[in-house]
Formats: sequence, structure tokens, C-alpha cells
Amino acid sequence: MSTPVAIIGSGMISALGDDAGALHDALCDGRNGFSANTTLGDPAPTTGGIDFDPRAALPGRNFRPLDRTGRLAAVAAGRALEDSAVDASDCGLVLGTLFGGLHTIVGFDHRVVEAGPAYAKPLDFANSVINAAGGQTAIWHGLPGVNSTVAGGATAGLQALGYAADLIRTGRARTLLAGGAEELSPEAWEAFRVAGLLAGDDEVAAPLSQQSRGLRLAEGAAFLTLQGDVEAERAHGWLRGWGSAFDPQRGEQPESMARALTRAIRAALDDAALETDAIDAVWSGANGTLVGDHAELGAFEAIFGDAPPPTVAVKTRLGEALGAAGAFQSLDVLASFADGRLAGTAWTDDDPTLPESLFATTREQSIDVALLTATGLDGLTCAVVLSREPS
Amino acid sequence: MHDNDPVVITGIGLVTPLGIGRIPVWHALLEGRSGIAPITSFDASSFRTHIGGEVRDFDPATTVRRLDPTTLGRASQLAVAAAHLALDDSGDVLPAPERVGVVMGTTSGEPREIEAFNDAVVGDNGQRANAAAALIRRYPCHRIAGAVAAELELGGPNAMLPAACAAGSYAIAHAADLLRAGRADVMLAGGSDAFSRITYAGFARLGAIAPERCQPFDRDRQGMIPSEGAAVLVLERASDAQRRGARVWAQVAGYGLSCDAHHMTAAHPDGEGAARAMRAALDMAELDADRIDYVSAHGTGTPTNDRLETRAVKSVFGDRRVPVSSIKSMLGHTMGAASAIETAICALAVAENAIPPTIGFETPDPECDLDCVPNHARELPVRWAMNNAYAFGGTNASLILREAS
Repeated sequence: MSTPVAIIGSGMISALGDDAGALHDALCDGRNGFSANTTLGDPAPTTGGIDFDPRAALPGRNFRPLDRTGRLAAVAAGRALEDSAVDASDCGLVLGTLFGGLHTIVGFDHRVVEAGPAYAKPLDFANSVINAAGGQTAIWHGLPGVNSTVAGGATAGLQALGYAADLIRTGRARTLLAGGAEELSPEAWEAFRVAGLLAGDDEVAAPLSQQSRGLRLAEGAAFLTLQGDVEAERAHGWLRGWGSAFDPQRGEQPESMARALTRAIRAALDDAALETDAIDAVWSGANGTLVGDHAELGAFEAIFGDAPPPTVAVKTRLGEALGAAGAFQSLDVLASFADGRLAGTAWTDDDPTLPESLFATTREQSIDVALLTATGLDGLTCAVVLSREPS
Repeated sequence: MHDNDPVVITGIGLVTPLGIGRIPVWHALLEGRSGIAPITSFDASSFRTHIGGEVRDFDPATTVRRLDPTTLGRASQLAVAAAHLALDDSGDVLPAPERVGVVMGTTSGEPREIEAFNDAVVGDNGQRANAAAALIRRYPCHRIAGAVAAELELGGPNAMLPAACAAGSYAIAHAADLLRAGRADVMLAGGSDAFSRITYAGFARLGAIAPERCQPFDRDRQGMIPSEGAAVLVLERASDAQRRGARVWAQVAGYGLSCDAHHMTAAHPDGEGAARAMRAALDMAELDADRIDYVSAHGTGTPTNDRLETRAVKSVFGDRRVPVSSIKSMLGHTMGAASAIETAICALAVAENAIPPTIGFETPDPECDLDCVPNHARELPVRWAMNNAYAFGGTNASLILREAS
């Protein structure tokens, strides 16, 4: 059995609030983080974009070297450091993302094409590497430990948590901020739109519903502080196990993708040395896209049979925040551990296509063990098991 | 670390400007040949320098067998080619496909997809929708590790670690840990990057590109040379390799990862973070620095890197003149592939008891007074080798390999 890893704090920035409690309250109250995003065109599409002022969020120093992904990451990491009261000089960082600073890279090359290489911006080049947000966050807060970025689709955040947990278990690191960051850029939005992955503004975007026509993009950043050798009372929860698996068909067939996610869940349960019936609730990574949601449902059926535990799908109200998504799921789990409520996240209570495990009305239900899942667009799957107590 | 069942390297696949395949690349490096040539993949006439390291004679149509090569970006194509070569090199390795995973590193992923997008936007060539869709379908760098797994139908853990120019080492370290934790039985791990206008323009704007040749540790060194390539290593537990009678190139004995937390593109002036990574790797290998027989330098050939790296190496190795060479003098800087290629070369160094030179060395620099194995390969017993890599973001990685027992 692998050692449980303590979660001693968290920090985040999202369209639904700036800490785990605020996010959880919003989800429990049925509020969503969607608004018209005027940076993406006219008419402004609906996204889970964040209206934030970097000057206020990153006070006292020059934040200009950080691009939007870097700023979101630095803000969330600062809040995690503060919340967990750890010394930054003892810390490393594992950051999940899909695009990193895509907007920065496109902008850098755009100047090369339009004006010539002599006019390219050196600062933008520094931010063109996909680990730029991780590096910038380490510089901003002075984090000298392991600094690693995990690139993936919506799975990257959970992968980052698992990778960080293993680094701590094996003694390679003692304290790590683990989570992810994603900015909502015009280029990412355009790419998702032309690839046919977004629900239109007048269409349903609803995880696990057959009425869903796609996802809504969101942005944000969130980190959990993981630490080894911790007194149990300092922990808000424990990372018990994780697993990842790949679908060699790369998500082209829901059944093959479901098998991959099933393998990831089994690996996570094995790692946690827990049986299926220990799982009190599931935080599904479903985002409203066809293949991913089918894979999630297929895996739940393979694991739980016809009696799946109550299920929470935070993306109903948060949207798909890609690299940040897994950490958002995790923070809602920690808040549920603390207050004994499971957020109702069915988009409506009269959609017969929704699985019965997904519910619309927030419940009072104390849980001890949670399964978190994530399914990417490209064959990646990941699962994490969190618990309230270390054993 | 007392490692009863260490992770070993049993397959090496190399795709580089000096050739494709372990044998041609190793021989070219020992002969001190350069893979640098005039750029052909884009029009470099508006740049002040015009040379780079491109992989030649590479035909994706024959290399990529199961997937449609036109659906893959160039870095993915190079990675798939390296993975095939690595598996061929390792013999009959594959257990159940669900027990085989992939971890790859990169600096820039598939930057050519961004270039195609900008060419469509600026040139208004009617390709904007296709190019935008490719930002999802081909650009995301995790597609590189995905392409390797999809091509070889591997269903185990799959991860992409874009740790910039230390990415290959980060990937190999993570893959070794996945094996140690029992999460897989075989891992393919390495790095890949494609030659691109974006990377070239960036280093050009930083004034970092040498006009003619890369001369690490030379007093008159003028910079690095952007390059491309891929390396994939087959990793498995020693007990499994022994059971199937596999040839073992080297053992992965330890690694150290650190961050300068100082500057995005410039290393810490004392080389403090780099030294910390080396010491962490030595600690994990439970090894005294005196035992290291060869150090593969990051050695980019920029005035700053080589000076700081010298300082860091000396702070760990003291006055002992351990051989420290930079194969970037021959390959250029293959970005996210570099530390994977260099790890492969360290494995061959301990297997073959030979170390490749630093070419282009003419004038000693008092600030870089290392034994940089100038211009000629050396034969000597190599039991332990260390590979150092430093990256944008202040990220450092040191990896230690030892001879197979």
C-alpha cells in the first residue's frame, strides 16, 4: 500500500470564487461562472472567463513579465502558500496545463511574420516555453524545489496531483504545490470552436446529459499544498492514490476510452488499497462533450455496476478549465469533506437522459472517500482518490 | 538509495541532425562530426544567422506505420520514429500493452502549427479554419506522447513533461519512478522538438545564436545553435530485463531536480540551482562526486551558460578535473530532446567505455577551465556518468547512470 499524502492547504482563482469555500458555496447554491466574454468577439460568447486585475492580485512588484497563464498561476500559488502557512523556500511546484501561454506564443510569432524577426519580443519568447507559467510562479514566490509542468488536456491537473504525490512518497520532495492553470485565449477559443467542441450560446452544455451539444470553456488556476511527514491534524484531506491510462484509439471510440478510464480508476484504487465500495462519491470530469462523457459513464458502469455513488460534475457550473479543472474538482472535494454537503450539479432536474447518480439539489451527506476522474480529448485519462482521514 | 531492482535502459532510439539510429549517431559523435548546416525548412534570409541542426533524410511516410503521418506534427513524427528505433533496439520487450507507458519531454511541442496559423491569418490564405482546428488536433504538446502510444498501441500511463531544455531528463526521471512504483512494466521515455521559425527567432532575438559553429567552453564561443531531434529510451526493471535476457545499456542510478527561482532565461550567477540538482542526484545514487567518470554538460556554447556551468561543476567536483563534454558542439541544441539524447549518450558511454568530445575547441577560457574533452573522443573506463540539463524557467535536472551490473 502506498503512503497517504497530506493536503495541508489550497489556493485558487476562478470565475466562481477565490477559495475552496467560495467555490463550494457557489456550486451548492446552483450559481454558475458564465458570462459574456467581450474579449472573444462580437457578439460576445458565453465562457467561464475571469475578470481580474493583476495589479491588485499581484501587488507590489512588476507583474508584466508574467503572461495571463503565469499571472493566474502566481495568484493561485500565492493563496495556497498563505492558506497552508508553508515556507516557500521549502516548496516545489507541479503545474498542469493544456496550452500554457498559447496567446503569447502566437503573438510572438505574429510579430516575426508581420514585422520581421528583429521585432520579436524577447520577453514573449521567454514565455513561449510551455513551462513558462511554472517558472514564472517559482520566480515570483521563490520556490526552489522540483519545478515541473504536466501537459495534457483536461487530465493534466489530476496527473499533476498524482505526479506530485509520488515525488513526495519517494522522498524526492517534501512540500509541493500541485494543480494547474489555464487561460482563456482567443486562439484556444477559436480552436475549440472550429473543432466543433463548444456548445453554442443557445445550446445545452451539460456534463453527462445526452442533450448536451458541447462544452463551455473556462479559465483559472488552483493548487493544493501536498506535504509528507505531517501531523494528521494539519491535513484538510489526503491523497490516497492515483492512476492514469491511455486509450490507443485516442478517444475516437467511446468504448475504448471508457476502458482506459476504467484502468485508471482501478489503478488509483489499487494505489489507495481501497475497494470500490469505499467510494462515497464521485467527482466526474465530464464536461458535456460526447466521447468524454460516454467514457466517464462507461467507466462508472464498469467500476460500480448499476449502483454508482452520488456524482458531482463541477463543470456544469464552472465550465471546462482544462489544466486547472482537476484542481478545481479537488478543492470542491475538500470543501465537501469539511461541511458535509454534496453540490447538486445536474443542469436541470427534468432531464431524463441524465444518470440517476447526478442530482440537481444539493444534499447534506458526509463523505469520507472521493473518486475524481478526468478524461481528455486525446486518449488521456486519470483518476485520483482523496479521503478525509489518512486511513 | 538501496535499490534492489533498479531501472535499466534496454533500448535507445535516436533521430538527430547527425543521423537516425543509435549506431550512426554514436559513431558520428565519437568522430567529432558536426550536424550543423544551412537551414532548409524555412526561409531564414531575414535572420542574421542562417545555420541550424535539422534532421535530414527523414520520411514520415515510411517511419510512421500505424497512424496517418499527416495527422501528426513534426515533433510527434520524430518521436514516433525514435520510439520504433528504441523498441527495435531493445529486442522483444513488450508485455501486455496496458503495462507499457510513455513519458516524453519537449520545449515547444509543435510550434509549426502556430506558424501555420499565423501564416493563414497574416497571409489570408484561406486556411485559417484548418489551422485553428490544428491548434487542438495537432498542436498540444501532449499529442507527442500520445502519438507514440497510439502508434505502438500502448495503454499504460502517459505523460508529457514540457520542462523546456531539461525536459528529456524530467521525462526519464518520471518514467523511472513510475516503474519503481509498479505503475508500469516497461516505459518509453525521452524528448522531442521540431526545428521551428519560432524557436530560431527567439534565440536570434536574444542574440544567442552562433553564426558559424557551436564552441562550448572556448574563450571565443559565440553562442548556441538551434537544432531538432528526438530520443526515446526503453526503461524496465533490472529483474525483467534479466529474465528476458535483454542487453542492458546502463542503470538509472539517481536524479536531482531543482529550480533557480531566479530568472526565466538566465541561470543563477553562482550556478547554485544547478549544483543543488547535481548534489540531489548524487545523494539519490548514494555516490561521492569523486566516483563520477564523465559529465555530459548542458554546454550550450553561450558565453553565460558555460561560465556558470563551470562554476557549478567545480562547486560539486572541487579541483578534480572530471571529463565534461558537450555534444551540443556537434548536434546543436535540440531543445526538449537534448537531455534525452545526452542521457542516451551517457548510457552508451558507460556501455562502451568511450566519451564523445567537445568539438570546435581552440582557445582555453580561464573562466571555463574544465577538461572539456577537446576535439577528440576518449576511451576510458566509465562506470558512472552524470548528465546535466538547464532550462528556461530556471529548471535544472541532473541524472546519474551507472554501468550495468
